[in-house]
Amino acid sequence: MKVTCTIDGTSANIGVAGDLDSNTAPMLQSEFDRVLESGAQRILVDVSEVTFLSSSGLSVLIDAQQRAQQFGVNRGNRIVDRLLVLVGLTNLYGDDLPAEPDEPDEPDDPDVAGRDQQSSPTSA
Amino acid sequence: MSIPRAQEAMPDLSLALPREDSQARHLREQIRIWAATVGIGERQLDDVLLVASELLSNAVRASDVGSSISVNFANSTLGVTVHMENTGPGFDIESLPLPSRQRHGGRGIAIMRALGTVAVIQEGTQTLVTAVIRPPR
Repeated sequence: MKVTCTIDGTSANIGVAGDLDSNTAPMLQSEFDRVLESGAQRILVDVSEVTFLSSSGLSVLIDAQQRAQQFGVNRGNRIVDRLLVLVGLTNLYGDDLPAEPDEPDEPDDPDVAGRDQQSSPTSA
Repeated sequence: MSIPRAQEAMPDLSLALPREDSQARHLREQIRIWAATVGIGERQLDDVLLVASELLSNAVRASDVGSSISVNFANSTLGVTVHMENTGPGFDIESLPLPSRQRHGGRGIAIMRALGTVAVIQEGTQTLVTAVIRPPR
C-alpha cells in the first residue's frame, strides 16, 4: 500500500493506493494521526487506487471520520463502493462536504508562502 | 460420433499459511489464480477475497503464536465454500459484538454474514470456520 498526503492549512488530501487490510491499516492510521495532530480539520481521502479493502481498513476510515471535523472519501472505486454499501456506511462519502474555503490572500512575506504545504509519500 | 465426456471436477485450492497478517496478500494472489481456473467471475471473486481476508484476520487473532493456518476453497453451484482451520483459543461467534460506529469488533463477521453463511466449530484447541459465499444473483 502507498499513502500520499498533502496538507494545506487545515485541509488534508490523502491518497491511498493498493491493498488496505489488517496488515496495512496501521500505516494509514498513523498517517491520519499525524494529519489530525497537525491541526487538519478537513480530510479528503482519494481511494480511487485502492485494490482491496477489508473491515480493518474500513475501521481506520471510520475512526478518522469520527475524529475529523469534515471527512470524505470519493466514489467510483468498485471495491470500496461495494463494501460501503454492504455495511451501510455510504455516509463516508464526502459528497455533502461544504466547498473548501477560499484561498487566503498572498502573505506579504514570501518566505511564509507555502509553509503549510507538506507532501509525504509513504509505502508498505 | 463423439462421446460426451463427464465434466471434470473443479479443483480445490488448499494452502497452509504461517500465522501472520502479512499472509493475506499472498492468500488473495493464490485465490485470484485459482478463481481464473474454475471460472469465478469478477463480482463473486471480490466477495471471496473479502471473506477469505476476514477469516484469515480472525484466525491470526485467535490462533497460537508460531502455528499455521490451513485453508481450503471449493467452488460449486452452491457457491464458494471456505474451510479455515487453526489451533488456539478460538472465539465464540455468537458472543461477538454487533458492529457499530463506536466499536470495531464484529464488523468482519457482519460482512461475511451479508455475503453468505459462516459457522464455527470448536473442539478443544482446534477451530474450524466454514463460510459459504453465495454466487451473485
